[in-house]
Amino acid sequence: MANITYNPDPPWPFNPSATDFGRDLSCIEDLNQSMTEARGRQLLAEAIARRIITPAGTLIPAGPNDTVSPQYGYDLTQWINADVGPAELSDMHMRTRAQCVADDRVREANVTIVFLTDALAVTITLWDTVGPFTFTRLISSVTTDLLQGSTP
Amino acid sequence: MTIPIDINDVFKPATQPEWLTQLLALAAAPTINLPATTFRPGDIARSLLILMSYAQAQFDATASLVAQGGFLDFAATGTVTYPNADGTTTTVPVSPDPSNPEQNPDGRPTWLDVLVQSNFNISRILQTTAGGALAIINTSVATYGPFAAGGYHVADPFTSAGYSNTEELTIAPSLIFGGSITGAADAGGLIELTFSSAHGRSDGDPAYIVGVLGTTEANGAWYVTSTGLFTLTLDGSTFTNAYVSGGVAYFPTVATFVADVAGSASGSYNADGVLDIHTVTTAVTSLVGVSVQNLDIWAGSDIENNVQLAERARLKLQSVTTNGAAGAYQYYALSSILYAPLLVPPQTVAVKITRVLVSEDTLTGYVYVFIANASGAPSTPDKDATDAVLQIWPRALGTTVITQKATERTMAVAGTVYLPAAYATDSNKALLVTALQTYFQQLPIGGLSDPLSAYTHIVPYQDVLGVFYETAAANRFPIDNLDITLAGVKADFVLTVSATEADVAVLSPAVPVILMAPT
Repeated sequence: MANITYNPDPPWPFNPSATDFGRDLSCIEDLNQSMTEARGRQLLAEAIARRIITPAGTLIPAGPNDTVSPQYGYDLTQWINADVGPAELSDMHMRTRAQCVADDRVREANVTIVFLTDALAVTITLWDTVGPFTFTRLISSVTTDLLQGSTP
Repeated sequence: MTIPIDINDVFKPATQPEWLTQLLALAAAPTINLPATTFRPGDIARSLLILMSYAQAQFDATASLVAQGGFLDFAATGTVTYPNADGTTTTVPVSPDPSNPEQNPDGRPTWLDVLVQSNFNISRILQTTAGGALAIINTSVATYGPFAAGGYHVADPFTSAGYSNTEELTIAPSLIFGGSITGAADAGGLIELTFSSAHGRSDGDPAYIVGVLGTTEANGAWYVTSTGLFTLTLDGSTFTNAYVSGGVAYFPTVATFVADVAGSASGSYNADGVLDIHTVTTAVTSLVGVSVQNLDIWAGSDIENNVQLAERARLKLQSVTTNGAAGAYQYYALSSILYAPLLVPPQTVAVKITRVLVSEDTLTGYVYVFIANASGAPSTPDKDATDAVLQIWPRALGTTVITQKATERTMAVAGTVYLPAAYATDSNKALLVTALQTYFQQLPIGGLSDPLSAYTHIVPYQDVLGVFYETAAANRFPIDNLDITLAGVKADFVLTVSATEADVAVLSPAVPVILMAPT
């Protein structure tokens, strides 16, 4: 199970009128033992975090006419330790950003990917209804950690 | 207020989207108060509810299967469809038909079997295995064997069906009897052989004839009937060609063989696809000087399919009525393969009766029961055993019941199928041939009649064409045009049905000559 680290500690500032993204079980790779909930920007960050480690087309469809689920997901873990050229790196950025803005709670997104040994560090800045916030995720072959988050 | 409900709706499971709607509504209800309206694709709670909706839809499908299993026709032919999480759907029959290897390869009992056993006290007729007497001659000086049961193998070269011995077998050198053959003559249609010395054979003894020139149809394994000290006839033979010279008769080793695989496909079919003697001629266990031939017809039958079993279950109800309802005769005739062994002494029906027509002669009061199996008229032993069953069980007191073989009316289906070149394949042709064979195997004795008497007792030409089009549609290949004849013409074939005679249509040749012409 992923260890999730936030800076500052969650919950992030929560303005019900502006970032009322509902509630959901807190989860990136797995539920935690206490089945805690996430809300607000934490919820949104986790939702984006799941999107970029989920292989495309593997989300269970909501029904036979679900056209959204097949477009869900882009698995960045496939690129760990890969020999990536400029074109592929550009494509990774584009696809990761596309996954971010596919969530209708995200107005804009900026993505930076840094290759580390056995891992990728992905820094994403999201613009929601309030404004931008940034978080960095370390994606390794064994875990996906949300290292830090910041708010404007 | 009356709310009409279609019977099919009773068994219709809720769909997965319907379940998801229901679950989302429950989640949003005040008692749970989940923010279902804010769920986005990929959200955990939403995904869990979607998973539950698939599971519930599959539970519903199971409930539908159970419910349908309680009603005869639904148990026989009903299906249920449910969605899979990968976007595909799965359709399963309520009772996977054991006669269809794709549905039920292991032949496992089904809901229908449970239903007919518990409600009608009958059980499915299982498949039987072809087998019978094999004549073996050994012209060498060596004695072969013993071969343990199952250790000596032969085959039908026309079907590749394999057979093996049921008991330990030793093949000793075969002895020639009657010196040599000096003549062959027509004896009322049978072949009568003349020997140079006394043949010493009794009626019903086996003989294996080799080396006859001219009357070559005499060569092979036969049961014989003695017509004199030096003459005998070959049972079941047909004299055709004049005798020229030569020939000797061996006293063969006779052993019982049984097919490796049960079912009708393992019968002793000839090159025309017709059950026959002299077809099992390949000695798979190859030994110098040894030749083999089946002395009689070896026939197996397939397991009763769901529709047949449901029909027999319904007829069972008539079998318990008084005064010999027609259905009672139908039921016991169709079940004779099960009842014949219960007779004293036990009798055997080798190939199950699948078609029955009951008629009454109002002048004499006699009841005529015409019977046929999938191939056409049954063998005489099968007819006699079925008659014995009918005399014991359904015959009402004071009633005369006469069991007769349906009269075979052979007819050819031939012609050309015009279709796009990509579909003019041997495999598609085989599908059409199989469908035609199945149609004729299931066509009732006396053919079809219009309830409004527009036509009576015919093989409908349009039905035969329909077999082509329906088979093509079911297997997704187009047919542009058909030029097909039934018994040489493009018209219905009229069958004879009277109080004392009834025809059954038989496809001949058994494998129709169909040409696939690319358009």
